[in-house]
Amino acid sequence: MLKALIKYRFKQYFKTSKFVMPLLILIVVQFVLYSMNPVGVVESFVLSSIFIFVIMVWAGIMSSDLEDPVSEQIIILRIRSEWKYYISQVLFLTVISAVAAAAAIFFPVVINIIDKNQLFIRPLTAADIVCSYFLLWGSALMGSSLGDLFPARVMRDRKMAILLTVLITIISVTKVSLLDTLPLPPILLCVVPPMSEIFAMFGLEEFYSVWKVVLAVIVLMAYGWLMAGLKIKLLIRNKF
Amino acid sequence: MSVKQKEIIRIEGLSKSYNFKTVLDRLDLSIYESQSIAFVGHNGCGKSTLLKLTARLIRPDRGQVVHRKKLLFHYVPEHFPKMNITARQYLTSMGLLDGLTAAEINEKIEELSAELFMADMISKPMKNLSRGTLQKVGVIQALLSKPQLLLLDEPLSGQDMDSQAVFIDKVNELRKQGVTVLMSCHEQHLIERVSDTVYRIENGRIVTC
Repeated sequence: MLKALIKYRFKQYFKTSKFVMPLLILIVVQFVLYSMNPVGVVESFVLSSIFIFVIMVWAGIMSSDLEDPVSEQIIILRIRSEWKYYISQVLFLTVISAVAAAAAIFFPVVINIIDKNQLFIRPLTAADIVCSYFLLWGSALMGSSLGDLFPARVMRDRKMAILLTVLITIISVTKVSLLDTLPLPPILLCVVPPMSEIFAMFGLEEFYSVWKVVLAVIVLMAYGWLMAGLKIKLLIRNKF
Repeated sequence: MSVKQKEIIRIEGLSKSYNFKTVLDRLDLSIYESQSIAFVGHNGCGKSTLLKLTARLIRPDRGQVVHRKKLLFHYVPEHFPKMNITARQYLTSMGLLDGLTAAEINEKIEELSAELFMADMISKPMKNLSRGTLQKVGVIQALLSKPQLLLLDEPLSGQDMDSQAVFIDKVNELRKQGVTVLMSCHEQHLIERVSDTVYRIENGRIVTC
């Protein structure tokens, strides 16, 4: 049943043009990011993670506005489970994020092959590709979950929902610098998605530390799914 | 209602308000297996709200809706939404959710779309369909497989007479198979041909007709 639900969501999503702009921006960002060489392996992929996070926030907002409440009601009654319906959205976003991460890794790898290993300051290894892919996937998932956090049934005022999402996105990308310069409450560190910390964690390192990558991916995925869980709780509490 | 019939839903002290206006006020009602109930009343009297409360799609302000077992509802809404996908793609997805095979779904779609005079519309994007045709898609999705309860919210709105007759026959076929029908409706001919119990909703209360 979940498989059929996810297929239905894919049909709905890709029959609109809502995915076109985020995809175009992702391609443009990749092109700009890798138009100069040589670039640092870890540095460029971590920067790419931040961009994919922001782009997937956008894709998540688009996705959350896609389903009509009446068609939601029909499906929820049909499958006899609100949870299954909402979980299918989480899985859909997880798959979309995996695809976006694959697109983000494909571009530099291909350029590197065309440039005869000259794109990066050192040779790109399989471990680099795997670590970068999971970092990109985690960032994309956290972004799409944030974009999907305030559907119309959670926040009726759509302008306010989008403004709040944009504000959280900006804070999550800049909060390490914000906390250094402004007297903001440290609770921000916990509440806002930890995108800025990921950048600070890897900084300008030349090589990936596997344990750091594992920790970062766990944190990114956990944050993404926690936000999705929070949204599901709110949807079930609010009903229609 | 015969005492032998099995109660499947019990509504206890149900109240619902919108914008400080009480739509439903301390309703009590039992719904039995195979029963076919029509809720009538003026626009805005709370018929659709009662249907949604019965299916637990919305939360009451007071009272509760008790389902005696996990029930499978199929729902025909008053206004079926426009979508980018085609009617066939939508109905195929609903059939898959019902656990039907691709062949069964195709057969059902062909049969029902022909009977409801929309075979030539089935491959068009739903955003381009008229209100009446969209409503037929809403009817077809509900008839793809057999539910335990059929929830009909003004099911004939915008539909031609021939399609209405087919719809009535289909609902009565399901009734013969033991499906419970709950309907919000204004059309007297539909009520007479489909329902065995009619309740009028007045001032938030249920009145037996």
